[in-house]
Amino acid sequence: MPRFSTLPASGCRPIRLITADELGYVKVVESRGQNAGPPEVVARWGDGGRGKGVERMQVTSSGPFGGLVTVARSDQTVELLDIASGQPHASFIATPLQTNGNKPSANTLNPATSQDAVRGIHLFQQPTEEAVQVLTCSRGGAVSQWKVPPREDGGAGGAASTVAEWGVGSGVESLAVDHKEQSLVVGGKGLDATLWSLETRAKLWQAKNTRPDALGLQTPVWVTQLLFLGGDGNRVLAATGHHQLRLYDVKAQRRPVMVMEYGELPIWSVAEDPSGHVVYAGNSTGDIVSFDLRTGTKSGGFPGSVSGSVRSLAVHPTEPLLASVGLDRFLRIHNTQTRQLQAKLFLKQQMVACAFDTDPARQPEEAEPPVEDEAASDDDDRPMRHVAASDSGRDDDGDLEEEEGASGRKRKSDKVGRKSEKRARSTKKHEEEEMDSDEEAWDDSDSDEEEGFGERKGGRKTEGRKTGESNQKRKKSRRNDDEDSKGEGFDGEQFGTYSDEESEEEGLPKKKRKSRSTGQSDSGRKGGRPRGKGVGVSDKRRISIGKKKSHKKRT
Amino acid sequence: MAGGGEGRAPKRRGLPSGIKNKVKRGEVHARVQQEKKKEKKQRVLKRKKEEEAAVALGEAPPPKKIPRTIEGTREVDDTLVRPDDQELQAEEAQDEFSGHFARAVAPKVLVTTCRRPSKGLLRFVAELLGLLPGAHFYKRADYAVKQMVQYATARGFTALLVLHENRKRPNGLLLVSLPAGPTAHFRLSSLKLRADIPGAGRPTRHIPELILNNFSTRLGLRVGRQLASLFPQAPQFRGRRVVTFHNQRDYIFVRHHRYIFEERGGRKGGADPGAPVLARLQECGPRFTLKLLSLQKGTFDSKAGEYEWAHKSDMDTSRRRFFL
Repeated sequence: MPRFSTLPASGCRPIRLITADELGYVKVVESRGQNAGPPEVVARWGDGGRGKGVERMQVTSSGPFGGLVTVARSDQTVELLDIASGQPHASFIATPLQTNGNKPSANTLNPATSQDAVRGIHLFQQPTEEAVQVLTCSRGGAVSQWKVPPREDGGAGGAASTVAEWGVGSGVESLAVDHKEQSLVVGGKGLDATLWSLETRAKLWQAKNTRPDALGLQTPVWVTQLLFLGGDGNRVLAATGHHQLRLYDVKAQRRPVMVMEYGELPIWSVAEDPSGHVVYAGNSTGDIVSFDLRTGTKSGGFPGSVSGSVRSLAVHPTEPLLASVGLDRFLRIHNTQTRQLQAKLFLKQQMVACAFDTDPARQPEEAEPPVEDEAASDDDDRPMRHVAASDSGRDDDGDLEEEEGASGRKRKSDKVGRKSEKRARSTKKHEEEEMDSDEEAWDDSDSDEEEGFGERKGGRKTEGRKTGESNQKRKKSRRNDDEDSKGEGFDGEQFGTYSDEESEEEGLPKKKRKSRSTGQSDSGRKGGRPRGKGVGVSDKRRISIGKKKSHKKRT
Repeated sequence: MAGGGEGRAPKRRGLPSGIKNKVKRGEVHARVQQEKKKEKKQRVLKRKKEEEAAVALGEAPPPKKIPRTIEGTREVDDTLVRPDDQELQAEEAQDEFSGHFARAVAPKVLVTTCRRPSKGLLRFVAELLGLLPGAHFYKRADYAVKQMVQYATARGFTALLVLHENRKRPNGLLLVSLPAGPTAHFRLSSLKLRADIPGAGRPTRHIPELILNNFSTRLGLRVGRQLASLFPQAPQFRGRRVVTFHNQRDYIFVRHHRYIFEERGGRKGGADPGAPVLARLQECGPRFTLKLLSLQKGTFDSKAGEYEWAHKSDMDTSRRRFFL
């Protein structure tokens, strides 16, 4: 039996997120770590209004012109905002000049029907001729490359001009550009994924629909989002309105190499995990699932996603975090490893897009845990921010960790985070080999905690002093040892710390107790919980640690 | 049950069901009920006396106790929005119903049924047409909802109501706001027509006043706005007609009344000019209950539509969680 049936909420690490909504606001959400409570909206850029709703957003955390948020609004305005301040660098109207045979529609203000509505946007990372270049694609299929020259004061800005424009076919819903910025792929309703060269503007490859099924019926083409997987620009993932994820290999064939189905409703958003073999998908009733690309099967869902269509998914490049926004007006952050909901935030509007700002310089500082016990209060040079935070009552999930200086805090919390993940994993699988690598961390953090309590008796730190599954491991290793050598002194050595206490408490002769404890551990292994007064040393210890842990959880 | 002196009293008082003899059990039960009633009466009397005494002394009466109800102890909901919220106002200024509330668009509702409606459903439709001032009934014939949406949009309707029934009992209501949605699907239950309501009157053709109660979350506000957009904005107070959408625990109770102020302090017309003015109600029907099943963005599209909210079974894990 796993001893931690419920995971302690590990909170959300310090992150910075940019979100955009249908009213036209761009909001910055920051989480200051698990001690600071739920994430908060720290800035709101733009005035919402008719025609200002964001259709597409791209976030570039760093680049030659600094971090930029590129948003395309429903009145076809494209804006470049500074990622730190929200100051608009440039703004232009991305109405295509002339499209190849696609007539511009009369009703250009209705984004639901307009052929000129921006359906894809990309900000080039590699600037040419000292100018920012933006790629837009209209629903009518006009791909336009815009050049935004630098302003007088050095930032990007000035009047945008079209560098190139060409038609890719009508009905575009999504555009993606590969990591090397050599090719783009577009797709949409009635338009299957098509790869175009950005240099020659020639069609390189076009997907072919899957074969008709046994009844001779063909799935209509409806691509909702496209994604380049990996860095080579050959693998393209397409989410479809017919509840499929299609994986294409451009080098291999035109038909999808893999088709994964989920549910019965359109999949509106996909994201790729940094591991490279997992993708996440969200559908129109708010279900988020992950797929393993190695097997082509669903590897699990994410609980706590409620009910509104998932419009956008974003994966953190280094942390195991998945952010999702959608029509239920919430931002949700899940842990991709434990699949638990880590944080959620009501953003008031129907959301369109979200993306992580990954620049380390702009990450919020991690809040410190609240002051809990007397031992911690002697740390006088604690920053004021921490005190303020605990005074305002924001930190109420306080950990009983030992207080450290501000510099050591981050390292510590990382460790705690790792610990909880590890715990989750091992409770499921009992992957004991993995634990070996992390034992030092366990020892460290554990001893920290105990000093915080300030009531350790036998001060010797041995390998046996571990919590959680290391305890199980200990048991197992001990069992092995028993089988091998009938516990020649090893047992006593390993649990030496406790044998003193134990013999004092129970008043048993040391020798007798020792033999008994081995027998007890056997019965404990079989029956699950040890019974009676003669609790084996290790079990007794385990219980006491368990208590401490639960106390820690509660406070 | 533990025996002993302390355990006996509650056993005697509280658990006549443990007695095996039926006659005896009935007797004891009756006695217990009587005692309870008595106690309650005494409690009430005592409280009243205290209040009166406090008033007589010129003191503030003891504070009234607030009952602990399920909705009073509802789960904390992040989406409760204050009406003065700036973002809420900004969104409401440009959402699908902004035209209605700015009095730029007059409501015009197309009411239809499922295919081959029963007589009972048509009777309900007839009463619904009396409830909604700008409603027009169209036979469903064999048209699909999407076709009707197109038809109604082209003819300037602002909403489409489709009523469904199961085994001749009305059980569903689909409300599509036109031209841009949203689409709400309600379960309809507890329907009572005018004939089933004792003392019900026939409504006049005045434009009714509208009462929307307890639509407090962001989703609730949106549903409330959608329901309100079915009725014209300028009520004719002469008609003294009121239509109420009362939300309680996510059930929306729909009622239709006519009110009257009795100025003489009684129906008999007693000649006491100083008596308080009494308001009396007469129900006009129909009376029914709605429960939101899903709210979909845009006009009806059950396959390709995006849901703003849809009921899922894992939402029903708490009695104290409400969404409207």
